[in-house]
Amino acid sequence: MTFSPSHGIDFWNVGLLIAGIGSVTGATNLITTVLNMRTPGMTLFRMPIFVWMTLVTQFLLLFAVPVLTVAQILLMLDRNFGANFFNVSQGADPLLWQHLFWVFGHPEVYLMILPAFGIVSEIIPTFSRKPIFGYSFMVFSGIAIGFLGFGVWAHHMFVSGLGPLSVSAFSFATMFIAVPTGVKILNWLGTIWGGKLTLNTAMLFALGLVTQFTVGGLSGVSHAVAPSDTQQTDTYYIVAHFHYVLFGGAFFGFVGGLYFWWPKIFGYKLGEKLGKWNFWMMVVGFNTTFGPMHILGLQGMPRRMQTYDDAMGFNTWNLVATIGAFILGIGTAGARQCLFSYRKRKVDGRPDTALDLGTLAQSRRSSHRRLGYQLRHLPVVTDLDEFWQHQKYAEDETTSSVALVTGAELLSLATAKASTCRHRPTGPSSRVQHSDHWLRHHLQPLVDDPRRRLARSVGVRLGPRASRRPRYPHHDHTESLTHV
Amino acid sequence: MTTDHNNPTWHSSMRSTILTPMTSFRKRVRPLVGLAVFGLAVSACADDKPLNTFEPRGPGAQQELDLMWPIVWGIMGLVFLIVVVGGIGLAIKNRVKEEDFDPDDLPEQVHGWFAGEITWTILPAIILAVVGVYSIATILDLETKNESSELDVLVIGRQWWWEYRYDVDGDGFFVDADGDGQIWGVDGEGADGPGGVSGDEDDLEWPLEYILDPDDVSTAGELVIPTGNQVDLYITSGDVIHSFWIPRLNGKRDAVPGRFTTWSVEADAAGKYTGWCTEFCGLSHARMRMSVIALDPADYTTWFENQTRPAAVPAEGTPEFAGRETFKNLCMSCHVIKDGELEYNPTESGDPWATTIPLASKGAPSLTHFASRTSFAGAIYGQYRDIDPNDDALDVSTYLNLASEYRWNEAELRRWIKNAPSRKDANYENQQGMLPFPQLGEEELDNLVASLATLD
Amino acid sequence: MAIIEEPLALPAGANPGVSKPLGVFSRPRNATGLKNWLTTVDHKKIGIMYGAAAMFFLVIGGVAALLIRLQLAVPNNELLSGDAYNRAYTMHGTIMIFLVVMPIGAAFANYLLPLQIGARDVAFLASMPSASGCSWLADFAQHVVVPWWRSRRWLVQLCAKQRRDLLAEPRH
Repeated sequence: MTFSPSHGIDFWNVGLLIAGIGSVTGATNLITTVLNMRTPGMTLFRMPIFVWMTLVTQFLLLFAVPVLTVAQILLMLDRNFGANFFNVSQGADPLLWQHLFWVFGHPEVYLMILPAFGIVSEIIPTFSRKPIFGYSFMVFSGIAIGFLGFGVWAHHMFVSGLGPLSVSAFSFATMFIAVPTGVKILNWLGTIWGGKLTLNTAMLFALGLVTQFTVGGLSGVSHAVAPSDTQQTDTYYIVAHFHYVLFGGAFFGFVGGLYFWWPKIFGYKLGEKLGKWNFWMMVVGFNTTFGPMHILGLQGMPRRMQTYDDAMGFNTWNLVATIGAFILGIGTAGARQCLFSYRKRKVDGRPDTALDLGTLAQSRRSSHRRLGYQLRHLPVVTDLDEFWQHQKYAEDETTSSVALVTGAELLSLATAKASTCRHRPTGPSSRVQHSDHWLRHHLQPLVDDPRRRLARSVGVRLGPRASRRPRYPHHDHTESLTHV
Repeated sequence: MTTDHNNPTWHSSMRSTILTPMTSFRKRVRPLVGLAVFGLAVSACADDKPLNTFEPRGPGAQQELDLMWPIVWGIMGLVFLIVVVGGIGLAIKNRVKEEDFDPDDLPEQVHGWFAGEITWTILPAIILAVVGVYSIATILDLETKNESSELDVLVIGRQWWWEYRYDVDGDGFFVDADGDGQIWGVDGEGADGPGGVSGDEDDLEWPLEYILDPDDVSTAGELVIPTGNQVDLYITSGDVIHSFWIPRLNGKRDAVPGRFTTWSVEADAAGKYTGWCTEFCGLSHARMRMSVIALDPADYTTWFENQTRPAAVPAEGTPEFAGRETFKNLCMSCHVIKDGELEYNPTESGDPWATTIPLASKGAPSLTHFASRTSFAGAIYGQYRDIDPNDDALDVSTYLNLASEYRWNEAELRRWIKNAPSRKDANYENQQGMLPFPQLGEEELDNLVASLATLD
Repeated sequence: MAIIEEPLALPAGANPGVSKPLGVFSRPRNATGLKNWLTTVDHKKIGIMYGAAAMFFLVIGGVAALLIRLQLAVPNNELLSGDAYNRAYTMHGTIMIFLVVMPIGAAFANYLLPLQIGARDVAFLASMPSASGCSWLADFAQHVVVPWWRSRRWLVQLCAKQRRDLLAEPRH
């Protein structure tokens, strides 16, 4: 109270408290949804990685946010009701706040990055045209990150005099969090390996996350080495580290997700050309801004410094970083194309693989203009890659994959889906009727029996599993098309 | 590297470089750009960087650098090459251009590689465990105190300057505030035996100014130590959390109010080593700097003896004496000059701690030997015009007779005393930072600055 | 208690019309307009609102970041005072973490997660009306309170300063 008497802190406090309540209710809601409301056949280990990562994230929220709430309430009691939880002159421990904050704060870091990991784990397989590499390892490494994330908070406090024993323990624990993270990165590389990559904007952002997050992860390891951390903490080296993790990592992932799911959500694609500009400006700007900060930090520039002196020799790299920041600012503004391309609203002529993979979400028509779930039946899931496999290939008796539908047919299907997936005014409109007519007219022959027909034409005998058709009538993706 | 221009090999290679027909402009430009970037990086690194952690001047900083370079950063570089360069290469290699996109051309559908997964889980774990063991060994080593040294320094972080207290008479840094016959102390001075900080914890419930021993030497901004000797520091804070950091000598350690953290500095050679407070501590955090002056042990002894001497009292009637009178009227509620005559009478000042007679310093630097230091105001301005407090360029052999070697920085001192908050942001209403004194006339300022010059 | 919709096993091609609710409450009907957006229980709309709020605050956080970089572009810069600089980076950090990155994560989670696991909506649709809506509104309350309070103080100070200046030097 003595040191910042204004009421700004109180408002900040109340705001965070309310947000904490919101986060916990939201987390409860999503956890319940995942655990109880999965469609038949969607076992936990058939869930997409994004769902897994979100689930871990919600558990982190559920356990970490109450700690912040406790800290906030103590602070509020201190400031407004005369309690002495943090009042040093009354014998309180000044490090209590730091401990409470970082017990929340470190899981917080992971709950920012894990959803981005999940998004990237959807994007990379789609545009590599392969299933995710090492699904179970991806899932368990995410869970491991979640668990370890609770045991490393004191690495933010290596210099506050905790004593050598605690510092050693937290240093060791922090190093091991690099292991599951490394597993994730290598699995993404494994997915790219041997894939056929479409380097569109979403994929570029995903690859941007993989490379830039790795840089941030590596500088993280150098922070885990506690003696060196005494030189690096609270310098620009750490500013560089967490921006590589949170901007080059999390934020790049989220922008990638924006480009990836935009057609799903709004029914039209964001411009690829502007998207590429957006990406490359952001990459160049980001690395020009935060790359030099590694050097600045090791040259001794502390963070949170309003100014520095000419004699300290920080001039060059600070200027470079500022120039980079403006490039980055312009680049990030490119993501705002959603505001103006909204007016165009046209489905891109070339169907995109974003519309033909993968997860259940993409195979379903849904729009925020329509409430609830749009398919009339709950789908039944039989396989991890159900909606990829089901469209693209099946396994014959020797478990080698066999294409079931030709690409041309898929393309026309995807086009058709694109035009029906997009949101449109509620109620019948001439366009909907038109597309419905078009679909019936052009796709009905395909709907008959694409699998059998194709298998016959390529001379492959289908295994019992694949040839049992229709396995589930509603599984036929064209079903949704005929029942517009 | 010198180049022998008469060397025919050099000529021919140059000629071939220059005269080869340009098959691909980009191929030729790329290395040049790389070279330019590298050159920029090197030139920027080669500048004088007083805070550079890559140029350690003491065993602590050396150990911390040794741990990182080349092993940890080497491993990291290797991983960087494999993942980042490899990943980008893979993406370029496997790229399918838009015009070549064939929806039927599916790659082989691979689901994973169990042995590989196990390998790249366990291998990094082993490498990290090895790094971890080395790192723990270094942690323990850095925390080891110098038992043989007589010299400990009490470092107090304050908004926004650093106070250093040297024990003079061997009775410790603290006095018995509550009068129960026991004192709080560091390194065995307290009741509970040797090592660390211990003793009468009841004393700690008093404000820090109550329990500090007023007889000790108190300096500000510049920590003077002898070379080749590990000086143990006991670090605490008078207000909020600060962090003490001299990058070329050792890492940082927080100054936590109500706690005493232990750390050490040691300099291999005489010189000036600058540092910054690195824990955000309020408005003028960016202007809370400090330095370590390492002197040869003989010089150090001379310096220390000078510090124990009371300040000189100027002759009556001189401008310096008039300045001292101004000091008495305006400055003494915060600052201290120990010249054996100036006595602070707290009862007249309306001071909340009016009963505290032996005030060591009241949140403001002791000015007893003001002119023997090179910087003031949290080591951001210099009292000598030729010495830049932000730079480590200082011939420390002149440190013992600064007044005769350098020019007194009258202009900056006048500006500072007249209106300190304009030179360094302050919440002086809240006892953070120095008050402005707009009422001071030109002559009074002149006298005051002149009297400060006598405090060597 | 969630609304249970009868899982209809209809032959392909049959159009069942509106599905029949088995629970006490009927499924909320779709509607448009501002009121619907603010009171919605549709996970998709909540997701979109999270995303829109995040995009809005991204601009504010980004401007704060650019101010920080401008201040540090050259040594001994006088562009921002110490106080303004401290505010700028505190705002940048708080906004980017709590008001940008976390809401974007919540946007994707709310919108896509039920779709990806084949749920009709998030769990507490009727029993806890708009739990997600609540958390979005709570977030938004904080979004508004923090910058509003900061800028308000700044404005008051600015006005007070102007007033002082005017009083000190009355115009003749």
